Amino acid sequence: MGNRFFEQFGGVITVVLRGQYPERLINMALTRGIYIWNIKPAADGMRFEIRSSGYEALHTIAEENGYQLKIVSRHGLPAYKSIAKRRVGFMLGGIFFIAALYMISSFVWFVEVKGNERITDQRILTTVAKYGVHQGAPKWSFSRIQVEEQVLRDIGDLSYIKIEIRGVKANIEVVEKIVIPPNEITGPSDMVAARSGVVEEILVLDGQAKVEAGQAVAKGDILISGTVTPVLSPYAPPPLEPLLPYQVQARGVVKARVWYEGYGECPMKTENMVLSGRTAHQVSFITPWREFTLWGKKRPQFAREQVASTSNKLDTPIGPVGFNYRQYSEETPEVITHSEMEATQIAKQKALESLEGQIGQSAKITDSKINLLSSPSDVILRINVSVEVIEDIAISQPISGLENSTS
Amino acid sequence: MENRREAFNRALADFLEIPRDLVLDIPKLTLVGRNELYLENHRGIIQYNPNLLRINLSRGFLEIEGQNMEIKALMPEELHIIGEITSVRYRD
Repeated sequence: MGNRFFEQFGGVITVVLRGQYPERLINMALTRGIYIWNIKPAADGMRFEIRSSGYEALHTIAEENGYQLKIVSRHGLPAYKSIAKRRVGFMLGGIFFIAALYMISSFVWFVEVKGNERITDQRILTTVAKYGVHQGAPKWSFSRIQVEEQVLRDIGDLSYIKIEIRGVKANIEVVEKIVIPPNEITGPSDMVAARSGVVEEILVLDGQAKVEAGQAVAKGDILISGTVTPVLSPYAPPPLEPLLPYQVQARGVVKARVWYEGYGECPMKTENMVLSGRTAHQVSFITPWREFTLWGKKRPQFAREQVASTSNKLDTPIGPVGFNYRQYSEETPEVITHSEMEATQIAKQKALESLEGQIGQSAKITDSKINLLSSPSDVILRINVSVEVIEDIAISQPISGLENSTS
Repeated sequence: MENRREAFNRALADFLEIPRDLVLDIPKLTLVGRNELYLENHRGIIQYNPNLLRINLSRGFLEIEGQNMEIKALMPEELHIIGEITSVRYRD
């Protein structure tokens, strides 16, 4: 196989040898080190292949001994060279095409940012652009790892960044730092009630409990005190010095039964827009200057319609170029009449949704009560929902009269 | 003279346990099925046509009969023949 390759590289000539006893010439060639292969009988002599480098020598021997040597065909690179010379334009076109493809594909044409929530795309894009990753930047002009490091240094809120070059697209994946709100209270503190309620359960981690299960508390009442008064054990020997109260940062969980009220409403009759099934399509060609309608009506005739458009655009330096496909679907109004039960259900759902932000995530809804506000003749059904929830109501509060060091 | 030298070489090859084809310049044939023949240590072609091939050896010649025979490769020491081989015969 390797041999074949080198033969192609150096060029191969097929010749026909004519004369008496061609075997004699072949033997002579053999002794002179001319490699011969594919010997076949031809109409009036022998046909075989030799390397183009050996042709000159063989030709000389043939002439000296009265043989006729005729070239039948040439293969290999040297043979193609002459063809290439004749088709210089085609070859240049090919080379130009490859070069152009290489040039175009060695730039970054698209930059995409993924994974950011608080930090804007714009901020990340401008920062990476500062270090060389932007639309139209040559791929060799920046080092991915360096840009990643520099961006991490510049945007402190990022904990991770990965720049991946895929073809002509730069995918930037970031992970933002999770900011833990600083615990402002560092000194001694109490735990007080955030809402009024009935204590169900109390768990003291540090401090001294001031309430017990079953007790009703009002908002702001101290639940776990940070001021601990030592209790003398009746079994231990009395201390030599009197024990003095000391202060700690109270910690613990106080679960209490609390109530929330939410409001929800639902019209007895709702008018919904539904799709009639009639549709119209439009395809247009986008150029940086204007949009041409290629197919379909410019302004569909529907009185009310829904438009869904998908576009395949390419951002070029002169502006967007691409196709836009729009689908217009006709909408017709449809009146839905709810029964009282349905309306109540929808209103309750809405009321609970309105409460969602207020009730903590760890809270457990134990009971809910619906209070109808509207009269049956009303167009809109209004309800009040009161929800009974068991949740942790303890929040830290610095012990009054003490200076707090804030972080 | 030639015979004595050959006899000496043969005795030496036997004594040193060297393959004879290396020392004595005797042909080595490898026949693959009936379609391929490799021949080492030849001395050139005497006659070639698709049905008959005569190959010179250091002593005598080799006559190969067959149909549609071609010399696939020809090198100073080696020879590769393909085609339908029917007989291989040594001649003096």
